[in-house]
Amino acid sequence: MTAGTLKNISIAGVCCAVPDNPKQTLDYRDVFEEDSITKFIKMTGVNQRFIAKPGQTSSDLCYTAAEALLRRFGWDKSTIDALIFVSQTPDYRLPATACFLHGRLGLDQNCIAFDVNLGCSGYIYGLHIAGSLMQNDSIDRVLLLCGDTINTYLSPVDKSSTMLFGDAGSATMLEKTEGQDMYFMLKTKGAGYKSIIVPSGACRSITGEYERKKIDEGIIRNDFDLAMDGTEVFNFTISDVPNAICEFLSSRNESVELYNRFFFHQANQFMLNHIAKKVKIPKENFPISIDRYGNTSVASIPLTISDFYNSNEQSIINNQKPDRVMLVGFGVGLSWGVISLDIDPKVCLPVIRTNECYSES
Amino acid sequence: MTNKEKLGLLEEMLDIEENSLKEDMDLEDVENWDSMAVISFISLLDEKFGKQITASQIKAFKNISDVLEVME
Repeated sequence: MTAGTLKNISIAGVCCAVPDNPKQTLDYRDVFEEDSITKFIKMTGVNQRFIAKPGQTSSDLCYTAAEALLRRFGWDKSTIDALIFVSQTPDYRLPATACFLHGRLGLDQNCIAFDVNLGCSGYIYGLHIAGSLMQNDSIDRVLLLCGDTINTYLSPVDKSSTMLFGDAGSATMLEKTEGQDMYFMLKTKGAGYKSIIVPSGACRSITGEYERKKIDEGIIRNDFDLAMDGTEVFNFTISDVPNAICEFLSSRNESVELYNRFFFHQANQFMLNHIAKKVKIPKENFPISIDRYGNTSVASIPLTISDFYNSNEQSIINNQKPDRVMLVGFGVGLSWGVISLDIDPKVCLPVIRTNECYSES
Repeated sequence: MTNKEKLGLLEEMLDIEENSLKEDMDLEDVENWDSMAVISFISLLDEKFGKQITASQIKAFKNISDVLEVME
C-alpha cells in the first residue's frame, strides 16, 4: 500500500479555465436519436460541456488559469521552484509541455519542469508528486497545472464518449506551510490499461486505420479515437474506489463524518451516486459539476472545487474556517487515489471562460 | 427475495410498467434492455446483493430467468 503523510504543505490557490464554447447535449439530436440522448443525460448527468476550439490546447487553458492565479495572489514568478503539467493531451510529442509552459510563463531557470501522463487520477497524483518534491528543502513553491482537451481524441459518432467529455485546464499553487499536512493513498491496476485507450498514434502503433468502423450500436470509431469500455470502467469504479476510500479512512482511524466536503473526479453522475451511497457520503457534502462541464478528465477535481466555492448559494465562502476535504480521482490507467487536506475556500477563484490560444508570432 | 420482488426491482431499474416482465421473456424483447441497462444492472447487483458481475457475463444472458438467477 502506498499511503502516508506529506508534511507542511498547503494549497495556496486554485483557478480553472474552460474554452468559451459551450455545447448542450440536446444539440446532438441531428447525430443520435433523441431517446438515446435523453437516456444518456439521465445516466451521465451531462447537460452541457465546454469544447476547445481548433488550436486551443490544454496548455493554453492551464496558462490562462496560471496567469490569473499568480496575478491574484501576487506570487513572484522567480519564487516558483517546480512546474508540473499533468495531461494526456500535450502540445507536442516532444518537448514536454511543461517546458513550453515554463518558457511561456517566464519562470526562472532554477525552476524544474516536467510532464506526467495521467488522466482521471492525475490531480491526486499531481498533488502527491508536488507534496513529495516539497519534502526536499530546496523546493518551497510548486505550480501544478492539470488539463485535458479530450475532445481532440473523440469520434463524433461514438455516443459512449462524444457527449461525455468536456475540456478544461487548472492551476494549483502549493506552498510550504508549517503544521498543514496532506494524507494520501495511491493505487494502480495496469492490467486494465485497455479499458480506456487511444490505441494508435504513439510509438507502439504509430500508424493505424483512419476509416471509422461500426463497433456497436451508436459506436463508430477508428484506431486514433478514444475507446472506452464503459462497463469495465464502471465495474472497476464501484468496487475498487469505495474499497480505497474505506481503506484510507480505516488506516487513519477516521470516519466519513469528519469531512466537510468530498470532491470526486466527475466521471458520470450515476457512478458518483452509486459510490456516494456505498460510502455513505451525505449529498449536501458531495459537490457536482459534471452537469455543466461534463467529464473534464484530469481537471475535474479542481474544476469542481472552483465551481463549488464560487457558487451563489454557498455561504461557505464567508466561513473563515478552512474546509476539511477528501479528494478522490480514478480512471484511465487504471489508476486511482485519495488525498485529504484542508482547503481555504477564499483561495479558490471563479472558473474563467477563454478563447486565448498561443500563437508563434 | 421472491422472484416477484426481483422482477419488481428490474422493472423499476428499466423504468417500465409494473408486472410487465415475465420470467420466460427473451431479453431481446425487453423494452429498455440496452447498454445503459447493463450498467444499471451491475449497480443494482452490487447494491442489493453485494455481488460483482462482468459485462461479458451479462451479455451471455438470454432471458429474464438468467437475470433472476444471479440476483441472490
